[in-house]
Amino acid sequence: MDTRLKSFSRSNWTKLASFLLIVAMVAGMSGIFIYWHFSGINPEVLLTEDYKESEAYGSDLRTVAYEVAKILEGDQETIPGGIRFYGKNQESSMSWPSHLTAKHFIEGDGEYFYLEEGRFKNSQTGETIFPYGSEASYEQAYFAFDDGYMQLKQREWTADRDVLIPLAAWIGALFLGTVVLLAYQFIVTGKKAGDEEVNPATVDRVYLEILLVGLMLLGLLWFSGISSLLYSGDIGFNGNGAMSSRQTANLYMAVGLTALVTTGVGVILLSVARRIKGKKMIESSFVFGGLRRGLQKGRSFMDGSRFDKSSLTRVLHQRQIYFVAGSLLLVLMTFLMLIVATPLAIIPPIMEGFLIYWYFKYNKETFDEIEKGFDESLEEQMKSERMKINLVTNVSHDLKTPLTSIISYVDLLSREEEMSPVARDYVRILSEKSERLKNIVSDLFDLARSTSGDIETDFEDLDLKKLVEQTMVDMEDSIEASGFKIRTDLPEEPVNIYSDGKKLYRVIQNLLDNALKYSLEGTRIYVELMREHGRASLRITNTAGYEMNFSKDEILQRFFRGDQARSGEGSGLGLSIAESFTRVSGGEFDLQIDGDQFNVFMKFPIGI
Amino acid sequence: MEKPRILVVDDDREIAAAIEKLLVLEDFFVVKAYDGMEAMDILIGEDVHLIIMDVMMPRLDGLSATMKIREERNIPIIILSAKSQDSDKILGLSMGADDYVTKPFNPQELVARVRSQLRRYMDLGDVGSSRKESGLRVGSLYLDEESRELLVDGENVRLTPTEYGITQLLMKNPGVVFSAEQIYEKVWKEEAYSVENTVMVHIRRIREKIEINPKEPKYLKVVWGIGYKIEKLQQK
Repeated sequence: MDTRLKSFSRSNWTKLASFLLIVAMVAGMSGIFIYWHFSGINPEVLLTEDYKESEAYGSDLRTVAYEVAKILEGDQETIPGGIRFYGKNQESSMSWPSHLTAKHFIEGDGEYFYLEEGRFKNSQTGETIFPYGSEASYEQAYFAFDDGYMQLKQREWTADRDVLIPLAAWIGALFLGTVVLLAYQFIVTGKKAGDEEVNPATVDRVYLEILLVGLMLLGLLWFSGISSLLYSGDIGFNGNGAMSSRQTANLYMAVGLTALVTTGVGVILLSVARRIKGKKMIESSFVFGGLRRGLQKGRSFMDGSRFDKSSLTRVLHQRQIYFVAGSLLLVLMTFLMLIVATPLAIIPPIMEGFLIYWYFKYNKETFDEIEKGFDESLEEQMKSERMKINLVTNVSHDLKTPLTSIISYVDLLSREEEMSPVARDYVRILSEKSERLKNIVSDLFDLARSTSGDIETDFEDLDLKKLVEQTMVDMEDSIEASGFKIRTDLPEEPVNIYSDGKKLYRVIQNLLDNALKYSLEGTRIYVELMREHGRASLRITNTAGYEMNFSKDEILQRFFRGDQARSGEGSGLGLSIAESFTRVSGGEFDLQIDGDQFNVFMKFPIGI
Repeated sequence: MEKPRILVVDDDREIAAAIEKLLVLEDFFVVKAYDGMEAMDILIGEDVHLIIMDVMMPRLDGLSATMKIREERNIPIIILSAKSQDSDKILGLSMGADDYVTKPFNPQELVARVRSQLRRYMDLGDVGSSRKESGLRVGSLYLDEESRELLVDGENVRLTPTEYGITQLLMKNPGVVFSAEQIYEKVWKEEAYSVENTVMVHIRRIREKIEINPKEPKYLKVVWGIGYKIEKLQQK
């Protein structure tokens, strides 16, 4: 399918419009049917043009034949309109109009019906029309329809036909349209433009059974509604061929009801269609889906496959199953023995005793093994933790000692008076770089300590708002030097938290340092503190001066800095330290990169 | 006047030599020792005015040596250590050291700290402790409430009336944390409203005047999220 066509056919508007069209068409069909019902027109008019060939005529004929027979027998006195007849037996003859004789029928050129062997037959085809009375007491009987009457009937027939044929045509057209649109709906439902997946709608989360019950209820509602509406109105129109007001009201109500029910049924059917297309019929069914899940659970419980990852637990589990099964078997055997051979009933309990002994003995072994493994892993963990801490301490010392020498001798070197300008420049560079190295080493160990948990914390009740203010004043010089404006939004009242103030100072200082270092010139830095869901929430936002083509995880990784920022001052650990220090201070740390906006969020539980 | 004699104790000979050269350039007389035991030996025979002591050393470590020296003598001791955690500093100071400098150190800062300790020691000497002081003393800070003067290592530091008020309040209650509001109400004698910045700015100025390294203050400290205090130091 062409993409543009697809995007049109899969657009929600197209789908909605076609759905509404379906509802309208079905409702329209129902309206036409009801109109037809109220008109009382025999649908047979559609089948045959000629009244005489219709089943309606056949039925009229039989009625008349029956009535004629009754009249002749003297059981009926009213004569049906539009016929003439003649009958004769041993005693008398009877006719209508009164002057008629058999001759009138036999010699007339019209069609008539005569009695032969107790049955009326058609004079032209010889067909038996009505199996009436084998013991008829008449020798002769004839009847025929008046020409005028037949002409009238034919006219009525034709008139009805003229009414009904367009209605039938409409129904056919609407039906065809409905089928086509339904097919379209089934094809495109759940599909979006440019996406071949079946997208489930909200209603698709409802269990299939509920939908089916809904479908049945809707059907019931429709049937009962329609039938009460159909049979509470009279059949046939009044004199001028229009519907009575009662019929009109019923018609509208029936159309409305149909529209409503069609909408409901349509939604349900489309949901079912999506399930079929998405192969989710069974899953979405409560009974089957639930059954399958139950079976899976049961199976994984019995064979212990859910303990696949821990072999010892699996062994325990299997032993447990054997134990229970064996015990059950032994109980059964006890009962059996009690019935068959009572003295032998002592054997199964003894065997049960062995079973219990076996069960406990091996379970104990397994438990010991588990215990041992657990202890080992715990010890391992502690050992590696200790090693990590020792490593940090030792490496720290080993790095700091030579660095102390370097810094000291560079300082001494810089005091030498007899030095060429070039050498002096070199010494200046050495001095700067050794200072930077000092900062990096210091940051590195702060970070290593805080991430390994080997860091001292000093928790106390403090006011985060005050801390932010203090930090900002403390950094006043560097803020002014940077030329950036910091906009703060702090609450009026204190925001008390229980945390480590010194660490949080480092956190905010690092974050503001970064913001000052990497912001786009002319932009502002925002510091916002508020209470949110019982927590203190601190946010620092700035606009980066370069493209942040890295992810949140990347930037939080130690040493990672945006490439453009690599050449700057600092250790590149500021953000990692901020994150780690926030955590050891009992807070949550998160950041978000939104285009050029760099947002850092910190959340702390509010104290008393 | 005789050159002050400084004992430098460090097992790293290069560092010891570097400190020696640094101090000699500043006109001090330097004696070196490479572990605690050696230091103790030198102290018996020589008159020393100040000790710079490393911590991690063979035979006798710096902290033990400090403790031993303190049992008999009042010489200023500056600990020089690669251990930089707060607990290390507190431990060192509680062992009787007068100052704690972390490696790698800034040479100028070390010299300044040496001078500060020496001034106090030479100024007051061993008799200092017996001299009657009418003002407030915290470490080498001395506030003469009569002349409204602040002496740092015996040198007069100029303070504005507000700065003086804050210093006085904090020095009267060493170790006690005051919030910005409390300081404002007590010093300005006005109702405090949004005064965090005002007070903090003054604190910073005072710090710049009295601290050797305002970034790592020894006396006037910010208690983050709570307030400000002047550290309570052991009186010797």
